[in-house]
Amino acid sequence: MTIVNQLSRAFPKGIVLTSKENTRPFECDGLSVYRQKPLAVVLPDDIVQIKQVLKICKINKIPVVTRGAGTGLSGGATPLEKSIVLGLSKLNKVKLIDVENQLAVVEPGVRNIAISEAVAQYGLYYAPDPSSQIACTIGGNVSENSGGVHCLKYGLTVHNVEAIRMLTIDGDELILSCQDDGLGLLALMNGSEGLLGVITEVTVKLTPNPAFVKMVMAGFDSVRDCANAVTNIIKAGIIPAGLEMMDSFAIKAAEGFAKVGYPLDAKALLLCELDGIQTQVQLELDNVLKILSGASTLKVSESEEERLNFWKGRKSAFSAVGTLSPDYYCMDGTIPRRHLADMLEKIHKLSKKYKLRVANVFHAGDGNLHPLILYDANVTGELERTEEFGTEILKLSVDMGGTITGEHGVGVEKLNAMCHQFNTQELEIFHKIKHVFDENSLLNPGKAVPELHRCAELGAMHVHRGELPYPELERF
Amino acid sequence: MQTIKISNMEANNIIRKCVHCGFCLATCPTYQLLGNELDSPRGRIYLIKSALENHHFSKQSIIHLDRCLTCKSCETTCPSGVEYVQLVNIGRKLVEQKRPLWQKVYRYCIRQFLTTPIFFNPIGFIFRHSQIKGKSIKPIIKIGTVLLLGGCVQPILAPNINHSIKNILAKLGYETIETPQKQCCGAIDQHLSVNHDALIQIKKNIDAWFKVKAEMIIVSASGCGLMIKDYVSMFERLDPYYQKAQHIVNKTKDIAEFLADKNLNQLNLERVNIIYHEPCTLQHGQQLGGLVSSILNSLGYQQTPVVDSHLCCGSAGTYSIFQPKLSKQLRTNKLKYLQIAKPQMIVTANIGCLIHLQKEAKIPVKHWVELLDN
Amino acid sequence: MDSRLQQLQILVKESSSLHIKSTLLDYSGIVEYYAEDLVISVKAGTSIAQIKKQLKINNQALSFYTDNEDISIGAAYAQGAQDLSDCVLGVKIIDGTGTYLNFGGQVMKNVAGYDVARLLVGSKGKLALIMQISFKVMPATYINQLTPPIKRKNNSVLHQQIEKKLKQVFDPRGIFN
Repeated sequence: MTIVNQLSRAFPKGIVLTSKENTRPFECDGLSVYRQKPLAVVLPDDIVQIKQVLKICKINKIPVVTRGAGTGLSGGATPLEKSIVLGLSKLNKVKLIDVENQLAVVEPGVRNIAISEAVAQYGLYYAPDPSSQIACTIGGNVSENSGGVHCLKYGLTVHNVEAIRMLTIDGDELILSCQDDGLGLLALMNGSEGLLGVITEVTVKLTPNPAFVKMVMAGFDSVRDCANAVTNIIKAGIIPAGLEMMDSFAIKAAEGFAKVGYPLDAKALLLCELDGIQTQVQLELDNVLKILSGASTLKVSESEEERLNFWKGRKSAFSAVGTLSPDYYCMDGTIPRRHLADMLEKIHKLSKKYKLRVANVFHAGDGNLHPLILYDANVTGELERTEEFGTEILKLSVDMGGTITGEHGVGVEKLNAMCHQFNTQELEIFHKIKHVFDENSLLNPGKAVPELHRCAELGAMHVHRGELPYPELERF
Repeated sequence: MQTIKISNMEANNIIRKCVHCGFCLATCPTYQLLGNELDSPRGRIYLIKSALENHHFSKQSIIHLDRCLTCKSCETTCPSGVEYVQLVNIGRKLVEQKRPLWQKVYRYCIRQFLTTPIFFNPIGFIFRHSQIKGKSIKPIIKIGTVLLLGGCVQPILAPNINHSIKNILAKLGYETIETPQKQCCGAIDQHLSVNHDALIQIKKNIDAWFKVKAEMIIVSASGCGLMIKDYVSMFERLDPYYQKAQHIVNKTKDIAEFLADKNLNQLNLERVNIIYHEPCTLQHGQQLGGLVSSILNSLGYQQTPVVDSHLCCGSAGTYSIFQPKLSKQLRTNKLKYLQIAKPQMIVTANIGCLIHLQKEAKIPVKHWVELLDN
Repeated sequence: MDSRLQQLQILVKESSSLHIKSTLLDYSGIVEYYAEDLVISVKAGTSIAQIKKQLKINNQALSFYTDNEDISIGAAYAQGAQDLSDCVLGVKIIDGTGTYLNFGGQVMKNVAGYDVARLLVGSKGKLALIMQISFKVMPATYINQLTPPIKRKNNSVLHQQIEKKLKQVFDPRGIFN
């Protein structure tokens, strides 16, 4: 009996989708250039059913790709050839809110913002806020170690997860807590891109709403001035809750959708949010305004509504770029903040070289860049040129002492770039870690960590002390 | 998103705008209930895209398109400006060809029942929601004349709504001409993808309303209002009705739009603790979210924010008839959130929501204008 | 290439049993410190007191609890808990085969590859020789009262099995004890 039949028999109607027509909408996630139809999609109602799916897949040696809301931007949830998609969207209950200890226990399919909504009545919220927070699920957030616009002060997902329950491919439950003595297994799971286990429950840390929040919006006539302002704010000993930058292209797109009053003639826009107790915020605000005195427009939010509006533009900027171009390719390199201005100039030059427009939207505070390369997938060759352009940006990030991905994950998209950032021995360690959890490589195999021969073929391999590693491998 | 050989240019352009970000999943009422991508806007866009690309479309996909409420909540959320409902209408036309006969017959009967007064009225009377309250008032000093959309089911089910509006308008100095029951806005036909019949009705309406000397067309049901405001899109640019439709659309106002800048101090208000349910057709369709609330606020009605106020109550035109299970689930959720603050009355702005909510609500559900004519 | 580093690589390669201590390491000093980037990279044998002294010049501080400033940062890392893990950005190690490896870096956001830099926090010198660590530091004004973190033993059999297998990944010859 085929695995599709086995799955269909094992579950009640409506849980297993098998027809081409019904599985096709699952062929990609938020990165739609990579597409692959799965054998079937299973949408379990509970953990018992997840276990059953894993069991059937293990017996049949069929890979499993776990999916939350499918909003990821690196193809982490893109199905593999002859794989089963395990969608956890139905597990969407907030199980427990522990106000005293500022924790919430939630199922993996709970949306990021739904946690904050559920705990709002207690004056609490869940701090990590990726732009897709309205839709993305907490299970996916843990798997990708999602960031957001408030990471600078409040950390990434890894800093805000207290504990998780997960299933190994064998269906065994593993409970990991940040209080565990010994190795940092919980930290390892954060950002493991669904390769080590299936997350079935997450206990998140909640943060009290700040007593006082102010947002400064500053428009600049030059990108360099804006980038320097970022460095100067941090230098002054201020840690803003959010420190975001957009270039003129992104400003126009965001303003077009959100209509929040961004200065359309500015070359760069800086959003700086300060929060805490009122006296401290006021002090920092005065300081920031002094630092930003060279800005062409400068505005401080006067109401909560205005502050949220400033954010609305920023958070919808990615998708709003969709109004300027049929397709865009979103990069996610991170560089040390001090190189910000140089990097932006280099991207600008590359944009001319590849004849592709770029909109820059990024978390300036932590050096996480999101250049959006605009292209048209219906034009032959444009995607290839875009990918080449992207690879150059990522290489630049690594060469500046940064990383190829700050928060979107490697997925399928950045496998080649991984060869640039890690040498063979390091990649081998990654493969061995995967093997510890998943001997037969059934959980999202082939994602996140490139096969060694892939790097060899690319020729991007690190050469260690003049010796080529794995001399037996053929190189093309 | 990339598309391959889609000959329908309108559909192609809409799909190309979608960047597959998935934001729409979050605010789609059916995805929230069912958790299946196929019951989300992004999933449906994909189903339609597939159908247009390889012309494969089976009964399985009909279910998912039928489950769409066309509440437009996703359009409010979409930062890429995807005109989802327009695409769904194209998709639904494809669906109709594959629909089983018994469904076609059932849908035909319901449509005829609702839009033909001689069928609907006797039954409608039995299920009447509320009677006319109080006397009719005439304007003392006449400063203008407006055309008020009578509606097809509203005058039978809840005649007091337009009665109240006529009185309010009279106090403000406006004379009201009401359209007859047979001039249905066409939304019911449109919902059921019988665009041909809808178009005939729409043309009749345009011709009739063109003759009336009124400075404005006022609509009390936000569903009908949205439909009328959409008349222009039904015609090609060169169609003689295009210009006429434009003229009608320009004159059409929801009652809230009309009252927003008027002095309402002279009205007798009914003082109760209310909660306001915003219809999708008003907030997502006509993009007038918050307007009624602000009017009610200015009149001194205290309001608490409603959880998930952006979600549909499950009425959605004929949805409650054809998708009773989902519709009921949505209503139960909606009523739960509406009644958290223990209001004495729910007010809304659309006859569909009103009747639908009242079926389950223990407290009265009224049109908000009824509060203003005590 | 750093000669002490090479010596240690050879030592690891040639040893069949090794107990890691700061004195064995003899590898200390601040490698890089970018105050404006809130990041410091230090060799593992550097004492916490020395790091704190350096940070103080720029009114910055470490944001994890320490009860003994005389111990090396490597020792703190090997015994570390959640609060230390939270500010680790990258680590350079010599594994049980004597290979020098680099995980993470100097940037706060980094999700390329598994988070080995945080996995090895609390590894108690049993998995690899920690050579260099990069930390996120904070302006001193942002650091409130630091309290000792809570640590509990995870008694699950599966958990212990996984830890054992992970030791084999980094130390296949089982020389670190």
